Amino acid sequence: MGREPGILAADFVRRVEIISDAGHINQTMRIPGDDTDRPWRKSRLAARILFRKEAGRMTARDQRIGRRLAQDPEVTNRLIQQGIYSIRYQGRRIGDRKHEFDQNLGLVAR
Amino acid sequence: MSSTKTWDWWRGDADWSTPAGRLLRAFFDGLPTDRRFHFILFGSAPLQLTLNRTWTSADVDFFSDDDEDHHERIRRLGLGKGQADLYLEPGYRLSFRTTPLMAERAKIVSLGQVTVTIPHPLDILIAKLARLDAKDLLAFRRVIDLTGHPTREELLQELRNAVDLFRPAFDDESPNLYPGNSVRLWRELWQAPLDVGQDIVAPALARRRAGYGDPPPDYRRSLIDGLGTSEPRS
Repeated sequence: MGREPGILAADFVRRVEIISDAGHINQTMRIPGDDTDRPWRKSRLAARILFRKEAGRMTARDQRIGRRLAQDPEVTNRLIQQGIYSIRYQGRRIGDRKHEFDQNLGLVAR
Repeated sequence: MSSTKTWDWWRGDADWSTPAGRLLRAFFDGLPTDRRFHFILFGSAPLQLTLNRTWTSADVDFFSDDDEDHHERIRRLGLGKGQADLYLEPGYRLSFRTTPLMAERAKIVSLGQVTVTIPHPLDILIAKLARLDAKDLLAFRRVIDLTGHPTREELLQELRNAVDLFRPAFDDESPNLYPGNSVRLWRELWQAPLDVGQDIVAPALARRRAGYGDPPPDYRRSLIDGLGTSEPRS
């Protein structure tokens, strides 16, 4: 397991690599040992899981990782929301659909 | 191009032949020439330097940008308290408690190896609210007489931007006088009531919250809920 409480192991690392390979995070800019963007990376992963949840495509693996991320003190609702706004899911940004997205997750009243 | 800033009524041109200007120059002339210095003025000296040369003050308050202690140097030059009619009173960064806009609208002047920051009168006046003695109240009146500013609305906006000045004092401090003194200032200058909570703190905090955006929903809970709550999107 990681050095810090709440760090996810292989699953998390693999997910981060997938995000990075998609061009959303410039890995050439990373400095080895610099973990300052770790909360942000994990929160983006949480956002991506929520996109799959909203689309009804959440897997057991997503659930397992999602639960761990939800208990990770570095992953905050504010950072997850920033992730939701910033990443593309299936090629699209959330844009004006954000309220509907929150409704579909049962987080705001319909 | 015209500016939308409400503090453009001050140019900040310093008259170095004023008593405060001469005292400061005497001090600068006595500084070592092999390094640079940067001083920030506060108190009434900036008002004398830039608004009215007859503005009276017993001392010239300043601090060094590196918080270097200049007491001994001033004493050696004979420019300190008890050594000159108008004397230098060196302080520290924390001695000057004012608005977060101070650095943005101050005038910065170079005199040889010395750089001087001269704060805007607004920032000088707002710092005076910590005490608001009779002399400080007169300073407000005189700046307004000389410049027409700040208006009541301008000062209200400035105090909202400086809302953290209104926080309760630390346990070992004197009570924070900003709220009470602001109420007194409104009464004295404009014969008008001021409700610090409603007129300053609430609008400032509302704007601060708006700047952070809407509070996010509880996404962490949604992650824990797993598949339980959402429905497939059509």
